[in-house]
Amino acid sequence: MPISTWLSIPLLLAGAFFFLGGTIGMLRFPDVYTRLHALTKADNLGLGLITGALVLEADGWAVRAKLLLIWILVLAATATLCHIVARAALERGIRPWRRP
Amino acid sequence: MRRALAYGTAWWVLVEGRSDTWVAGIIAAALALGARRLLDRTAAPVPVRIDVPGLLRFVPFFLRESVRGGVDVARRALHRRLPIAPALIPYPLTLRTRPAQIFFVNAVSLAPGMFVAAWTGDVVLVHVLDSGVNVAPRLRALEARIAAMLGEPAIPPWPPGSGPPAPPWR
Repeated sequence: MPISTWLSIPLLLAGAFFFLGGTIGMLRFPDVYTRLHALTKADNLGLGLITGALVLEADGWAVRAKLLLIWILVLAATATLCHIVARAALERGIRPWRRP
Repeated sequence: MRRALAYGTAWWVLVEGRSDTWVAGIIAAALALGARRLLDRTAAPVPVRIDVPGLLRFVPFFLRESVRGGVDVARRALHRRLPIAPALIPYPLTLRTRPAQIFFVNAVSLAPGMFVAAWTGDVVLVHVLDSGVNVAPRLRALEARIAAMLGEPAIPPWPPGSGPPAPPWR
């Protein structure tokens, strides 16, 4: 196997691990606000790692540029969505969960 | 015209330089231009000057923060006892221009254990996953990096007494 494949395998595994972590957080965290933390942060890191692995494996710079552009667009969309969902929840009077 | 070219280039990158999709590309770029016009009508555009060394310093900082944020939340989610103690914390912004504030609000969403849940004027309400962590210095550091990147002068901290607003449900 080429060296890039040996580098991309751990990146892909780590990316999958963080997606799993985000999903488990989504299921275990108690309210919409804490779940947003799990979704935005763990998934962004997972996506970053998987994008990194795919950049190593891609043929040609056009594909690499495309992957990076997709990553940046998803980051921007996630960050904005996180804020919008939280704001909408607050405006509806959903109180954040607090440790009893 | 510059925007049309930028959107066209973005499309070209997304389709990996293939030439048989140019009709869809022109439609997508036109829609993006229209959306941008609509946004400019609701809020007057403010010119943004990006400081290149500031940007180059921001990228590794941002990547490091993303890794820390992902590791932190995954650790808490997988921990047997779910160690979280969320809280809402008001935070007065020192960034004054609208683009810098918008960038800050988005960047906080990707920083470890926090995001902006509400935003009125120059004060944001930050939701934190662990209220035991003092986030104010980290938010100040993020503001300073954004100020350096967007060429905004450093602004003295919020004057004492002009306190942040109470959360909306109180």
